[in-house]
Amino acid sequence: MAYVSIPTYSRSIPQRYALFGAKCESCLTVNFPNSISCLKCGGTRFSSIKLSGRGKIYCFTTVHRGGSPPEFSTQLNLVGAYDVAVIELEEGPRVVAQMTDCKSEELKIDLPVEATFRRIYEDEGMIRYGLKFRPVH
Amino acid sequence: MEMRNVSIIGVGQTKFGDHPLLNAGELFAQAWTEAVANVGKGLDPKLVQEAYIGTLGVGGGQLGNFAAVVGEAAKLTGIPITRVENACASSGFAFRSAYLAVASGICDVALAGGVEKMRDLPPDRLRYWLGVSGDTEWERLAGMTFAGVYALMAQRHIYQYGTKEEQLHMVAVKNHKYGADNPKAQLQRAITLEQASKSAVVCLPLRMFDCCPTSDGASAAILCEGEMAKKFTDIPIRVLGVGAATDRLALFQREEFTTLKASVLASRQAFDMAHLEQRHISLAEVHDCFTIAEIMAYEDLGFCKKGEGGKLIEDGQTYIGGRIPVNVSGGLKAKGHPIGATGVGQICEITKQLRGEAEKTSRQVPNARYGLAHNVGGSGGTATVHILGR
Amino acid sequence: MGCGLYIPRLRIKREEFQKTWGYFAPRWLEEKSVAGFDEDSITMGVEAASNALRNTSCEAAALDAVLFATTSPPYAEKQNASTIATALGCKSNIASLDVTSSTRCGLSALLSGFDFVSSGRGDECLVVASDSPSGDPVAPLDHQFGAAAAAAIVKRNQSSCSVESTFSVTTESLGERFRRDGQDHVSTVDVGRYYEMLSGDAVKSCVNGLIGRLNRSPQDYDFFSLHGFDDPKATELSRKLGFEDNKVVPTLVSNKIGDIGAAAALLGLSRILELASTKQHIALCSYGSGGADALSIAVENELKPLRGLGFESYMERKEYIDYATYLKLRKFSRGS
Repeated sequence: MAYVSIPTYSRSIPQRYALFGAKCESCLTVNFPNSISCLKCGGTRFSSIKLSGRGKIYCFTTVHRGGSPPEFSTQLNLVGAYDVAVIELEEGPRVVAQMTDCKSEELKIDLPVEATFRRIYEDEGMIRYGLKFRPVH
Repeated sequence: MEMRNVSIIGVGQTKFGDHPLLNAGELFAQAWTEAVANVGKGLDPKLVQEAYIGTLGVGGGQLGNFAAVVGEAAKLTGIPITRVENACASSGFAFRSAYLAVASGICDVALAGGVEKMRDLPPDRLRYWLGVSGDTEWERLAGMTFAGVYALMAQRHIYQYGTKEEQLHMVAVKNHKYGADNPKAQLQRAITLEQASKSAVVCLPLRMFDCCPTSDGASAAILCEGEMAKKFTDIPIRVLGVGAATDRLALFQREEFTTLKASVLASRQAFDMAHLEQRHISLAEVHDCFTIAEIMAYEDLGFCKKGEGGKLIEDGQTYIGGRIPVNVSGGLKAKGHPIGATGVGQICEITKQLRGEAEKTSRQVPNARYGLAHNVGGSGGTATVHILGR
Repeated sequence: MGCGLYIPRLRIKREEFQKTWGYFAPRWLEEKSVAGFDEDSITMGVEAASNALRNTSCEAAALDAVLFATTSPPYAEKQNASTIATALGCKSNIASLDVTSSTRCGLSALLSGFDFVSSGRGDECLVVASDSPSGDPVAPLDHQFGAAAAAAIVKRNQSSCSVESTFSVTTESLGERFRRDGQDHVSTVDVGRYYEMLSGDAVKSCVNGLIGRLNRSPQDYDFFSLHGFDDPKATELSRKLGFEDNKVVPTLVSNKIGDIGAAAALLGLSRILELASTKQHIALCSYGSGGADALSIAVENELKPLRGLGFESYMERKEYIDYATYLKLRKFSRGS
């Protein structure tokens, strides 16, 4: 449906599965997801850094049927509306991900959260795994 | 190279909404025919030398070589025609391209337009297409389409500036009021604040009436070199300011979520070129794909200070009679949003308003002199601002 | 060796089954854990493994092997262990293995983990056992199935506990618990008495073989943990083998979260290590179709889990669902 191809998805697996970011060797800014040049200074040399998965919510929304991409239709139909948040990781970069293991009412800006490995969706017969976030207990 | 003056000599637009029996080419032909007929002193269509048509190509029916389809539909086969795609800002950029073609002297008469067919797709396929202009790899796979992305902007705007959810709904109420008086609008029904506040949630805090509909529609505008334009019409509408910009594709990779940098940059360019300030503008057509987008547009275009967009709508300043009437066509919210056609659709509205030709006086801005059209692609990856004047 | 565990948040009570079907088959169970819609044996395994790494202050990058045991792998073909290894951030020059097909495979995998390290093939090995079995909703077998995961880091020359002996027994048992290729649901032919006899014999010969090898008797052990049976049967069989209830009952996990298949033995082991103290001896036996494995361990230094990652902490974190939601979750993981 969506069609993020296997090679495209796989290229970002170190980010999607294990939070490997790229630390710019010039300005030390942590870039995530990785890009060709540093978001801050444009530098192109990086060292790999595994991020902790801890952060806090920057903003969030609850997605109902009208607002969801078709990859998530089955999920919406069966288990209902879901929450998506932009999370500021403790190393600096922001990521966007679904929330899990919590009710919408528990969410608020600045809530401390942590990453957890989950099934995200399916495409081309493959389970696409990735990271969601949940409140820190 | 000296840039020449450019004026608009004719505009046309289909009703936005459902056109189940017309394909994209036929839909465009309707807008084009109306534009030709709209030229005050008549225009031989063969004089059009170049055309730029904006479309996303929703549905994928004819993604490649759509220019040839337009040529056949408008009986313009032979001239150079370019399909322009910048998501929802497609025809804003098409208009820019047509302007550049005439201003640079490459041609004297150019056509800018747009078209989109969105209403003939089943829900899942439509939602797929609605998502193609967003960041696919990260935002989409986190479960968001534009409604989600704009909902995040709304939440931050509320958090950072104290904007109220109610103020979002006030935008919808205003635009529906004006849409009800616009025979070209898709939704011609006024709504109350209560209806808007109680409508079904799409992505919190955005509800159904905070989101523009999907639409079929087409628009066309004929541009002509400034002096030559007087041969075709007694009321040429001059293109005074032209601005365009881009920003990062994904919202989460931007510094600030409460402003669209592309809008700010494009706006500055247009005002600088026109040698005008915000206080000169008689009316604006802004890109209200979601109500929060209109509130942010008030700020990004400089009509009020950052964070005071909510106050502007609440104080009624964006109604006719207020400081700056915004979206008296009904906006994307009530007029509709056929993605490729919206940008030039806004140009059509401003042109008519500046000529005093709105169909109902209830939505005619009195003594309109300068108008601004603001068109945004997706969640702000691209944007154009055009300033027109009598 | 150090451990970690994971129990999913969702729980369902026996009353929900009673309301829907008029009965709840496992009388020994009050409520059980249920995997969320975005969880499976791989994701639960990653959680348990992450916890094990944290509890032991080990780095994923130092692991030389990942062994994954389950009866409910998301893929019947496409290695599952490699997904876990990648998710943890392991280096690429490691060995990985999926061990499946029987509830016995959790402990079998642990024994293989010991072999891997003691043979010198590598210094550090991760063994993950994770399961979320499901049966036909109409049949009573489904009532007992829960979901959970546990993991162990096996390291040479570490000081928390030592493996004293192992013993294995392989038997053929038909129809006791099976799932044909391509089927979603676990079934049983349900000739109860016959299976009790077979499994009882297998366990007896395995456990007696284990402690006989060390010239010990049941009295020498502080804990005995038996898996592959529901809790009343496990206690009864343990008594017959000479282990008192107070050595057995604290180790049982199925009566709290349901039948978790291949994960039971490792989860039970994690539980015991939380409770055990230095100089204590633990015997573990896990039965499944195909036979039984047993293990004898001496505890040298206590290695307690970090705060919030222990069994009781996971037991406390729960959210109840109703039967309709339970069915929807089953449909989602099977049907999408």
